[in-house]
Amino acid sequence: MTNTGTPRYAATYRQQEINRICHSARIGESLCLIGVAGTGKSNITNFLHSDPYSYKPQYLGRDAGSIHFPVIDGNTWNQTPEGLWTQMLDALADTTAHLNTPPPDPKIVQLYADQSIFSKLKAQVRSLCQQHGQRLMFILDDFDTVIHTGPLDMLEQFSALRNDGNRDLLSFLVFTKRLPSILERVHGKGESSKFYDLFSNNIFALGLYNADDVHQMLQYLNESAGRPLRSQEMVQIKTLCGGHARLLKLVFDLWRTTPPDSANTVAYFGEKPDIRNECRRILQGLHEQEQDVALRIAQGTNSPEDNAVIDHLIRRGLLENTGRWVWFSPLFEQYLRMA
Amino acid sequence: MIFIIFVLIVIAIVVLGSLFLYLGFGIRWQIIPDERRIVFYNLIVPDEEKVVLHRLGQFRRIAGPGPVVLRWGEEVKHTIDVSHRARTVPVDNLYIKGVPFQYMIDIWYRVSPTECTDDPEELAHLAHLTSQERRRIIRSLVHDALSQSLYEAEQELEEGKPFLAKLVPILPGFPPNITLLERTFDRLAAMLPTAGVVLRPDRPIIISNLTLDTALGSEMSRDRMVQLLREQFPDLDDEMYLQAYAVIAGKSLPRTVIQSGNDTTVDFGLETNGEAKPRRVRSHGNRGQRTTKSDAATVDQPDQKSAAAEIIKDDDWHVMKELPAA
Repeated sequence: MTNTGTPRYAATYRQQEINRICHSARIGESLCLIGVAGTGKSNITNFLHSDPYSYKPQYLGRDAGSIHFPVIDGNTWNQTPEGLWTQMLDALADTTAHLNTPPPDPKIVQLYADQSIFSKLKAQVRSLCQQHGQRLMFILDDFDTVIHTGPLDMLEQFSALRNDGNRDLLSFLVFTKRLPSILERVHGKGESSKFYDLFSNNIFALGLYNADDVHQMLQYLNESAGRPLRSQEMVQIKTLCGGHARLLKLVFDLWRTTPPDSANTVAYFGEKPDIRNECRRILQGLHEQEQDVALRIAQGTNSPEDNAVIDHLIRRGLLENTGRWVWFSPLFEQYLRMA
Repeated sequence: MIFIIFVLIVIAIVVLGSLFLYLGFGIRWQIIPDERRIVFYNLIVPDEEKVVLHRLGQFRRIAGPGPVVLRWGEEVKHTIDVSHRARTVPVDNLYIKGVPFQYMIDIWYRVSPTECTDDPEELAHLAHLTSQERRRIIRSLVHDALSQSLYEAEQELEEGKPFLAKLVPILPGFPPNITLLERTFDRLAAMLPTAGVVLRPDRPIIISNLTLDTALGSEMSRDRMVQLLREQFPDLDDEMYLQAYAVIAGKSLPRTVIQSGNDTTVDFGLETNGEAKPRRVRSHGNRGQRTTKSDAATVDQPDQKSAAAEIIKDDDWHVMKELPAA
């Protein structure tokens, strides 16, 4: 599959989100974006970290070269503090390879391995931020498991990193599928942690793609395809998937390889295992109470007690009230009805 | 009459002109309405800074922060950062009972030569210290203060105690260490003014890192871990304890599950402060089998347990906001 024309995403891709992220990175403010599985987070991290199409200067101007976004993937964490600090060090080294950072002081030998690595990380961050005048926003991607597993004092070290003279220069962008306050409640601390306090005032919903982003993505996929689809087919795909990035890709690929043989495309694609798996992934990524309410809405048995959760699902971009409750995708609605 | 007025005007011009000549050119002024006064200044020194002024190549005075009026011939030589900050000071070559160790300590202080001396010559000397020179002096003073406090702590140690107990005064958080740091603080409060520096009285000294001789560090770690194993598995023999320790230490796994012949399973975790703590103790039907974290089938998954306990209140649902428009 090759594409020499249409970029994967346009300069206006996720404009609201990127604008807010870049603004926060500039002022050293942390934030958390909560999005369902498959909502296109990898494109955001790619945009910020690698910027393959050089769009960042339109948001960061002259600061584009001095604000860095190292990425840490929570899915590859080995469930140890040492592993997390190593990931962060590696991500930092990868992002700022062009900047000289001092070697560790050979006279100082830490008692324990994870303290040693954290010390190195702290020294690197301090050097980059305070001596080289750079700004760092660590992207903590798919961080649900890390927050949930802890331990809490490992998470609170993020605050310590910032308090090491880096307050306006270091920040974190946390991606989760669930509310971080609920994830960390398992640690049993009655009040919120210093980690949560970093971004507690900036927890936002990462909604689905808008019409422009959907259009761009489908154009990109279509241009890369050996046998492009027609415009009417693309319109139908947009309606089926409702802005969910992974569903768009799945339905597009399926349509190309095994086009629907009937006008009822919802029923046709709704039975496909890949689509069902993706819908399951979306549903299971929600909180249990969200899942329960979603199923009740699909069955038409929701009650006024569900209103708080319904508002939450609307803010996530999954649900819309048009006189009746409408899900973002008819495929997802069918999945819920059959679940 | 006209002549008198003329003379008065000339005198006023001469006086004002002399004033400007004396005070220097470039005088500006600002009306402060809420204070009902006019402020004259040549430069504004930011808060947390002071300026060292020279006249004809000689130290004259320290001024600021705020509006500063340069007198005749005065010029700014350099600026001193007088903000209260925590600085990390490495202190090596420390000893307690012959055991070498190093500290990294955080001290809150600010540079303030005017608060440290009234003697003009001494003030000039303190004002001219560079940051590097000052840091070197501070490091030396901190080492002296700590060494003296350590000597006192050694004198107070009881004889006949186990070797590791003699290290307690240098271990953060223990009462003898708190006393050590308090004494060091008092010594530094008296000594640091010789470097033109004033300690912040409400901020104690904090140890951010303790580095022991590496062999000794391993010794402590092994003893502690074996002690924990003994407490959890009282019926094992010494060889089993050391074998279990070798597994934990050798694999460097922060979590290792050990199952003993008496059907007890202990899940060990290493905290970020280096402590090994038993996290979960369960009784199983399995016998004499050692597992690691990867053997998920025999270990309870924390996610399943705590997911079942997830309780979300109404307020929680309002935490997440919509992104504001760009």
